[in-house]
Parts: sequence; structure tokens; C-alpha cells
Amino acid sequence: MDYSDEQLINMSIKGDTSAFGILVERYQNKAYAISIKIVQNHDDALDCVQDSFIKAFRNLGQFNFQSSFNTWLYRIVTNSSLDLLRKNKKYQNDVPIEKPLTDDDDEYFIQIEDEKSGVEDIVQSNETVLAVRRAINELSDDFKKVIILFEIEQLSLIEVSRILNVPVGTVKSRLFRARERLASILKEKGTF
Amino acid sequence: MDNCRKYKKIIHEYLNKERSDQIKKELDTHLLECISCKEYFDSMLILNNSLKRLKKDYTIDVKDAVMKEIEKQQSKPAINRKVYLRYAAAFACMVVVVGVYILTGGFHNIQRDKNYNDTNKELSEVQNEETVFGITTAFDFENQDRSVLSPGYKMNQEDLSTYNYITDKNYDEIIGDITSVSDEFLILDVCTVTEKNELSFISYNIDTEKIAEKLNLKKDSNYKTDESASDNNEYVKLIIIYSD
Repeated sequence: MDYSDEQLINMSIKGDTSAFGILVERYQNKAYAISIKIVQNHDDALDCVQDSFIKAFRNLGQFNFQSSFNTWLYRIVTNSSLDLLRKNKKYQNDVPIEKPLTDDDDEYFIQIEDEKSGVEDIVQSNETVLAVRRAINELSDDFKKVIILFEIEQLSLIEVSRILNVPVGTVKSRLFRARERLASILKEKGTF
Repeated sequence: MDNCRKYKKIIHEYLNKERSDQIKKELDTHLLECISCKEYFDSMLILNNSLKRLKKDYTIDVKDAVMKEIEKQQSKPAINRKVYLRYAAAFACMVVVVGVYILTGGFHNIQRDKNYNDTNKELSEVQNEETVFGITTAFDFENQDRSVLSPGYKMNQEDLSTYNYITDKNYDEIIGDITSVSDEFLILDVCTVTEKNELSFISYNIDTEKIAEKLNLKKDSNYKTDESASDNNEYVKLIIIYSD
């Protein structure tokens, strides 16, 4: 039987830890994807994800079901990862190069890109992507959060707003400024 | 320029996936006409695509580690942890109290088992006294006779002259004042009988008037100094009635 998050949470609260195990299975990969973007280190991201699930379990009694479990969990993951990042300043200047980037099958801007010349070549460049990743590290925490959650993890504005516990308008405003800041950093570095 | 500002906003709305279909044509038309907006749009587009390329699907398995940790924590129920914390806090308090006791040579609460010699108060009343910790700790160890502070020291209060004073100050004010003069004078055995608004302490005989002056105390006309006590005694007892 496929239990809903709410059912699994209630079962966990009643002492059925295996129910919480299903929640871990359900959200661990996405939680890791968020954490790795922030801490940029596999081991630290794994630690953050584990700690976040344990924190979530300990505080399940306080979960009020007004937001979804994954939103609540991602908030814990985001904050834990940023806390760890602050503690380990070394990661700010030590960006590991993960496995080579490959083309994504993302069709969102394909039509517009086709209408322009030269842009695709730049987009294809792994160096540009790497430069963008480095530039993200120079953002403030607030900007970093919206960029990772909305632009990279492709969560909706409403989901980001719930995870960060700020109005949607604030998310949009931060996105606007974060993009401009990133563009400015990349221009300074000669990437754009 | 205002027009460009408007399109800049639209570009971000477009990137936010808020209104892509409705404005696409209008935006494309403007981008063909405006080089500035076209450059801005291109840079945002490159950025947007680069950011999306950072998205990856990961497969991890932390379930076993998480469940193991949860089971480990559950074997130590939270309530027990709280009890341990309470024991730890109680132990820490005890260490502090014992430390203060050793440093000050004891609290000198010798009045607990003696009646006031001038008012014939019942023992049960005296047992309601509350020792004010901290006052005697201000004692100047270097300049005073340490023998009076040695543990187990007992001062025979029946031999002490007693001076009665009144003050308009309330308890907090007079205690504050006593604390502030405790560096200057030897002040021992600060005790209070709250039901009677009475506060007492022992000090050097020679300092009595100076202390009364410093604390701005008035002599209590209802009492006379106990003549039976020896004027030559090194110590005296001051009893102060404070206001509510």
C-alpha cells in the first residue's frame, strides 16, 4: 500500500519507525541534491541529509501539516547545509569539479535559443557552467537559497516561498537581484 | 528607458515561468528592436541555462544510517535525558555551594540554633531565618583575620553587643547597600526574618557607627543597647528593621 506523507508521519509519531524509513527513502535524493549544491562536498552533504532526517524525526510532533513534509524537510536541509558551510569556510574557495557535465534534455528555452546566434555555443561550454557554480558561492545566503531551490532544483515559486518561509513576492525579488548579481560577478570574471 | 525597465521586469517574469506564452511575442518583438534589452536577455538566458545544467539526479541511501541513529536515540528516551540534565544541574549547583562554603569558611549561620538575646524570640521563629549568601564572600581575605572565617567557627552571640536600627529602605535596597559596603567592612552572618522585616549581621565593634552612617541607618528608639554584653567584645551585632 502506498501511504501518503501524512499517514506515514502519523504512523511515525505513534512509534512506527519503519514508516519514517519510507519517508527517508522518498526524499533522500532530493534532499541530497539541495545539500550538495550548498556544501559542494559529498561527505558533508550526506551528513547534512542524515542530520536533517534525524532532526525532522525528533520534531515530528511539532509538524503541523500546514505545509507538506518535503517542504519542511528541505527547509531543514537548506538551513543545516548553510550552517555547515559557514562552519567550513574552506569550501568557499575549494570547489570540487564533479563528474563532467552533460547536456540536459531541458526544452524550456529551446525555441528562443534557436532564434539567436552564438548563444548556444556559450551555453554548451562546461567552463561557463563551472564559472556559474563558482559565482553562486559568492552570493549571500538569501540569494544562494533562491538560486539553488528555484533555478537549479526547479522547485516552484510557491514551494520556494514555503521552504524559505517568505512571501512569493520576496522570492521573486530575491531571484531578480540574485540573477543580476550573478551576471555581474560573471562579467567581472570575463565569463560574459 | 521606462519601456526597457518594463521589459527587464518581463524578462524576469519569463524566467520565473510566470507568463511565458502571453508575452513571448511581445518580448521577441522588443528584443529585435532594442540592443540593450537583447544583451540583457542573452546574458540572463546563458545564466539560466547554466544554472539548470547544474541540476543532477542523485541516488543516495542514508536510510539505514538514519534508522540506526533514530533507534539508538530511542533507546535513551528523552525523559531520561532530561532527568540526567537535572541531576547534572543539581550537581553543578552543589559544587558551587560547596566551593563558596570552602572559600568563605562557611556561612556562619550560627543564629540557626540560638535565640536573639535581646528580644527573647522563640527558636522556631529564628529557624525561619534566611541566610543571604554572597554577602560574606565579599570579605577581604588579605586584610582581615582569617580565623573568624575558619570552618566550624562559632561565635557566641550572647556575648555580643546588639545595636538596633531602622531604615526607610526596603529589603532589596538595604541588602544592596550592605553588599556595597561589604568590601569596606567585615560583615558576617547576614540573616533576615522576613515576617518581621528584620535583617541582622555581625561586624567589628569599631566599625558600627561608620556602617550605620554609610547605610544611613537611624537608631531604633524602641531598643537600648544590651548593657550586659561586653563593650570590649571585638564584634557586635546590628539588627535593622527595614520598610515593606
